[in-house]
Formats: sequence, C-alpha cells, structure tokens
Amino acid sequence: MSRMSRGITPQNLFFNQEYEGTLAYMKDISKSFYGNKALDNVSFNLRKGEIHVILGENGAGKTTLVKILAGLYSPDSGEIFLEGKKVNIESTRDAIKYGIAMVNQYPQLVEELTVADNISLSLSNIGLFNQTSKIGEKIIEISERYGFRIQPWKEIMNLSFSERQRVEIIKAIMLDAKVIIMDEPTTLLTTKERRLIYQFMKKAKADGRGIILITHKLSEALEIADRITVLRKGKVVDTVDASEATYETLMEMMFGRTVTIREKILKGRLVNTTSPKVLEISDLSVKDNYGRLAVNCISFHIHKGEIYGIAGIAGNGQIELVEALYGLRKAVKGDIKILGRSHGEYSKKELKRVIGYIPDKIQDAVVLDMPIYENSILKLYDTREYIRNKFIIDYDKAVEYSSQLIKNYYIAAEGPDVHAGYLSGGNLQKLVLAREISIDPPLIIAVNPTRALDHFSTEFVYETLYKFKENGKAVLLISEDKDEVLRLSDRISVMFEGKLIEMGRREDVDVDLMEDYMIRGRNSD
Amino acid sequence: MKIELSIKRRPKELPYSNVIVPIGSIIISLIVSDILLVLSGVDPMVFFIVLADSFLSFSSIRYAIPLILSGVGLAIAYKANVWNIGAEGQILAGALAASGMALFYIPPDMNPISAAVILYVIGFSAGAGLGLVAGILKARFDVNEVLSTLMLNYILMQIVNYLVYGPWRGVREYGYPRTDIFPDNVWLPQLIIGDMRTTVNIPTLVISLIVPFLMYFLLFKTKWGYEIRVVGSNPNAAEYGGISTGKVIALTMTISGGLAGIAGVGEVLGIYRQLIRAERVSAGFGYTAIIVAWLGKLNPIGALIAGYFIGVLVSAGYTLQIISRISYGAINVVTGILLLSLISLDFISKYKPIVKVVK
Repeated sequence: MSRMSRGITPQNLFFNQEYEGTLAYMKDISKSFYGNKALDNVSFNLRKGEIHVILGENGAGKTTLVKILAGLYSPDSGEIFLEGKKVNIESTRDAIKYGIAMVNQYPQLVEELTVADNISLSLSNIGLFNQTSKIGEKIIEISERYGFRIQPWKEIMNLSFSERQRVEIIKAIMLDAKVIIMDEPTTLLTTKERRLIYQFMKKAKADGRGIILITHKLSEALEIADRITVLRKGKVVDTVDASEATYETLMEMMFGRTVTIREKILKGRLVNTTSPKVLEISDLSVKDNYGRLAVNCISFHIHKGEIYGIAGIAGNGQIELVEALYGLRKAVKGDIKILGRSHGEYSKKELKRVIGYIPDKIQDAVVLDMPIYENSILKLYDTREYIRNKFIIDYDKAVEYSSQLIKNYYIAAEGPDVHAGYLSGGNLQKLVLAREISIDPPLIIAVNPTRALDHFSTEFVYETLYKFKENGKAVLLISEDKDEVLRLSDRISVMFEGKLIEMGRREDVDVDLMEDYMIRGRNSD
Repeated sequence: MKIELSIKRRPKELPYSNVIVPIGSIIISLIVSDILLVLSGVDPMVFFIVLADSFLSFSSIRYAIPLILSGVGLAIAYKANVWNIGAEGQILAGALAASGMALFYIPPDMNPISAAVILYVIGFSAGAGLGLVAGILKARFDVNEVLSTLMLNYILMQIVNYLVYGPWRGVREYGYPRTDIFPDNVWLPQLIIGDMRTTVNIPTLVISLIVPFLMYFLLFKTKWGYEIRVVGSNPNAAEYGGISTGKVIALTMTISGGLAGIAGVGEVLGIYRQLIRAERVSAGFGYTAIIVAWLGKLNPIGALIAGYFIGVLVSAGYTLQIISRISYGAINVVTGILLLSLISLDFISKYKPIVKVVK
C-alpha cells in the first residue's frame, strides 16, 4: 500500500484514479501496546460497495486496526479519511456519527438491559421519551428479514454468545452505517445461517455500503470477498483482488511460508461399549434463570476414550446442561453419575477437579486482573502440590508451571506475570484449555473450544483433545460449529429446545439431516 | 453549541498510578483545603505549619492506631468486593464487650498481661461477631451488606448509649454518662517519653504495626488471600473454581469486624479507661477508615501509611481548632476533598476523559 501513497498528499489523494470510490482510507496507522507494535505503518482502503476481507493469524493486528476505525482505540500515528475528508475518530460515538458500525467479536452490551434497550442506547437520535416499543417492532422486522431469531424483550444476560452477535448485527443495520465492520461474525453459525449473513453482506454492499470482514478462514475470504488485505505481525503483506487470489497464495501471505495443509480427519474409533462409562446422565431436567425448563429430560452417556459431540444453535439448553454437569446449576430432576459415583457424592471442589470445563463465556473461567500464573492454579491452589506449610501458596511453583503451559500450548504472552486481561480472546481460550487438560481429569467439557482461534491454534486444540481421549479419557464437546462436531466426535447428537436428538456414530450421521435438526428440530421433508 | 463529554477506557492504567494517585490526591486536597481556610480568614501558612507539626506528634499516632486497624480490615473486605460500612459499629462492639468484661468479670487481681490478652480476644470476637451478622445475611439471604452494616452501626450506638446512661452508669461519676473507671489491672500502658505521658497506648500501637504486615501476607501469600482476591475480582471465576463465595464473605467480615473491634478495645482500655458515650468512643474512626482503605489502594501496608497520614490530619484538625478558632469540622472538609480527589484521579488513571465542543 505504501507504494500508492508515495508522493501523494492527502489533499490531492482523492483525485487519484486509484482512490476513486474510496469510502474509508486509513493511512500509515501505527499502534503500540506497551512497547509491542500491534500495527506498524498500516494503510488500508475500503471502497464503496465492496466486501473487504482482512485476513491474518491471531495477533496479526486485524482487530486492532478495525478498532481504531471504530473509535475504540486511538492510533499512535496515522490519519483516517472518510470519503476524502480527514476525520478524527476519538470515540465510538464519533464513529457512529460518521456512519461506522462494528459488530464485535465479543459483543459489548449492557447485561441487565433488554435487546431493545441496548439497541436504543446506541441510537443517538432517540428522543426524550422511551421509544423502545417502536424499536422492538423494528428489531422484529429486521430479524425476520434476515432470518435471525431474536426476542427484543429478552435481557442480554440470558442470551448466548451468538444471539448477542445478532443483536450487534441488527444494531449496525439500524444505525444505517456506511461502513460495517464485522469481526469474525460467522464462526458460530450453521451453514444456513452463514448464508444469511453472506446474503446480508451482499445486500448491504449493493446499497453502496462498505463491509470490512475480519476472518481467519481462508475459504470464507475467497468465497465472499471482493478484495483481501493480508496482515502479518502488524504489517500489511498486500492487498489483492479476491478473483486473483488462491488458497495457496493466501496461505503463504498469512504465514510467510508455504504450508502444507493436512486437515487430516481424525479417526473415529469404534468404542468398546463394554468399556466403563465416565459420564452417565439419565432423565436430566434443568431450568434456566427464568425458571423455564431449558433441559428437558435428556439421557446419554460417554465411555472412556470417547468424544461425544452435541451440536446445536446457542440457546437451546446447552449452557444449562453443562452448568448442571459442572455443579453450577441445580438439576430439577434426573441423575448424573461420574465414574459410577453419583453427582451428590462429590464435594464442590472434587467435582471441579474431576471435570475439566472450558465454558462458552471464557471470561468466566479466568480472573482478568490477575497474572497468568495465578490464573493457572485456579483449581489447584489449595492442593498439596501448591501448598506449603498447610496454607501458604507456592507461587514460585505456579510461575514455573504456568511458564510450561505458555510454552506447551503456544500462548502468546511475554511471561507468566502478564495479566490475563491483556491476552487476546484466543489466548485466553488456550490458557483455559491448557489449565483444564493439565489437571488431567477423567472428563472434559468443552463448549465452543476453538471459537476465537486461528487455523493453526484450532488444529492444535483438536489434536490436544484427540490425544486426551486416546489416553482413555472422555470429552463432551458442545459446539455451534457442526463441522467441528463432525470432525472430532465419535458419537453425535443435536440439541434443540432442550431435547437431545441422537444422531448415532459419526460414520452414520446424515449431515443434511443433522443441520435440519439443528435449525428446526425436525426433518424438513 | 454544546459540550460533549465522553470517556474511554485506557488499555492499561497510567504508569505509576499506584503511587501518583494517592500522593496527587493528597496534594490536591491540601491545596484546596488551604484555599478554603484562607477564605475563612486563616493565615495561609498556618495550615501547613500545623500539619508539619502534627507529622511528628504523638497525638497523630494516637489517632492513627484505630484508623490503621479498621482501615486494614476494611481493605480486606473491599478486596473481596464486600462493602463493609460498619467499622464504626464494630469498633463500638469491641469497646462494649471489653468494657463489660473489665467491669464485671475480670478479677482486679488478675495478671495484667492475661487480662489484656483476654480483653483483646473478647473485643476481636465482638467486632467479628457483628461483622459476621452482616456477612451471613449477605451470604445466605443476599441482604445488601452496605445497608445491614450501616444499620448495625446505629444499633450499637444506641446500645452503648443506653448502657452508659442507664444500667452501667458509674456510681463515682457524678451522674455523667459513663461507666466507672476500670480497675487498673486492665489499663493498657501508655507511652511515656521522659516525664511526658502520651495518649498512645503501647500494646495497641504494636498490634497496629504488626497487623498490616500479617494481613498483607494473608492476602498475597496464603490460599485464603487467593480466595479473597478471586471472589473480589470475578465471582463467576470463583464459582467456576469451586471457591465458596459465602465462606469468603464470612471470612472477610470476620477479619474486618474483628480488627475494628481491637481498635475499640484500644480506645476504652488504652485511652479513656472507662466506657463513654458512643459518639466519643468511635468518633467517626469507622467512617474515616473507609478513606484510609482506599487511600492505601486496598493494600494493607498502604493502609498503614494512609492511616498514619489521616491520623496526622485528624490531629492537625484539633490543633487548628485551638489556635485559629475554626471548627474541628474543617478537617472533615480536608478528608472529604481527599476522598473526592482520590476517586477522581483513580478514575482518570483508568479512563481517558474526552471533552469536545460541538457547534
């Protein structure tokens, strides 16, 4: 990009042929976080009516770049032009004023308020009187048009991750933004929902809006993009037309080397049904925060050396199910047995140690304002391993242990005393995974374990979980990503409105039928 | 034309904010307070001279003792996100229990050291017990601890006053609302320099110097401290890790109430040697200790330093009252401005304020 701007002053920039139709132009943006250069002289332009994909590994600076455009960060140096005019974006309010809306990777919503309240909060032209009922109607209208299922009167705290994301998408549409930034929006969607998002992006693009799509999925970039900008380690590698790009060239741009992809299908194993059961659930019912039945009388079991996958769209009772298993929520009825012992026979702490748990909301499993080493012993801090003289914590040992985790799980952190709050979403996910696996429990519950991860980290997590099961352990995999479930699980079921629909062994699963069940809970025919 | 105000969270706190925030707020509050004093007709230097003088006075140490003890306790509770506003009542509980024991149960021929130990333990237990009431209400029934601890303050105040005006009123006190002087085997020895007797009582001073370090150790080296900090920073993560939030609430309320209770023991046994009216025993220390805890950035050793500083302010306030004839209340203005600037600076170190004029 730098070759383009050479010798061109901002004033005459937009007379330049190359920049005709430019909606947003970010010029020579640099941003450091405590000495680490997150962005180094990055230039980026977005045209009217295009879908511009920003592609890069975890930590390449994709999110930092768009957060600057959205007013969440201020750049250390560099300029931003909107339709040829230099602008100063100092806050999200400024960004909204200029018609820039961001659909966040971690949606930033007020937990206690309803969907409609949250959306009306960001509409600055709202009058003195509460117009949420009107907004509610509009939300329903938009959500029907785009096929999102969302209830405007539901409080945010009762929404799943992907439902929150839908709120953000609706918000952007309601703000009538010229520039819509989407940060990994499709990670958690089923193929059909993903199509709807693509359709939405295409419609928005036809209206002359510009869409910035951040992704680490090459296939997505190639499918939907008009142009692709690849970032690596805070620098622009190049901007290319999607029509000229191939999977291989993009891979090389992203990683700086040719990589041979071996998306090897991990072999499913015929589990000996006589092998002991690690988890056994019968007739389990669990209520949600509103006292409604979220899990409706389900039964299943997981053998040793087995990964059991439950696919389903968020909000169908998965969270309530795992919270009941992990002892965070009381079951209304039914029986949970772990290694043949009933749930009630374990103490609160024992239960947390026989089950490794990677929750949907990863922030619930870490303390953001504590260093990594303190986070790494969250479940072991009072065990013999880390306690000296009955009650003193051996922090030296914790530091050493967490250094091991950082190394073995490729967590991008300078050291064990970095606070967890300064880790990216993907690295937090890896930290929790590392901690839970290292406790070596007989059972791991992983909910969307690769959500915020790039290609390589995802493969790494898959391999880690696979190795874990090969060691005779059990894994309960809960995911909104059906490909993930299909790839990893030995047996699969679908969760829909609190019911479990058994799909059988992976080899026998009819993928179309599985998708139908995920979306409608029944066969479409 | 209108003015737009907005804030933005800084990616990281400003550098050295741990030091700059407390010291900066002290400087701001002193300057603003001096301006106010000048406006009420005091010579501008008087305030600073009195303050400098108070830095080396025993009276400052005397006020610092209860402030440090209660402030350290509050820091522990606040660290766990438990908002104990009840140090005032917990000081009274300690004073009340120790007075009752001293008057009616400790035999006058008991060895003073055993008596002191018993009375400290009793005072600690009484303060802790009062704290636990609020703690259990919160842990079990989710009763807001701000309200319960605040209301318990008034209850304790009324009980103490009922006793000193009624059944416990001393027979040798000419009708004043106070108990008889305690037998001298329960008197805590006061520091004597040369032939000057100070109001600093040695055992409580020693306790208030040791406790901050013990509590620092508790908070940052032990498993209980770990639990307190996890519950305080992220209760969801605490649940996730199997840490019992209720247990942590009970523990922090016990420690924080107990330390305030010890402060109460020091006041009645080390200074007054009798139980007097509630307003004079706790004397607002329990509320001022809230500022101590925050000024020390919820660090027990920070609270030790902050407690001494606020002790200096309190002592300066009394001197100021004598030499310049302004009311003692003026010093509350200083502590009030101090808390205000503390909160503001703390906010600025975490968020960036943006002021914009829009046409």
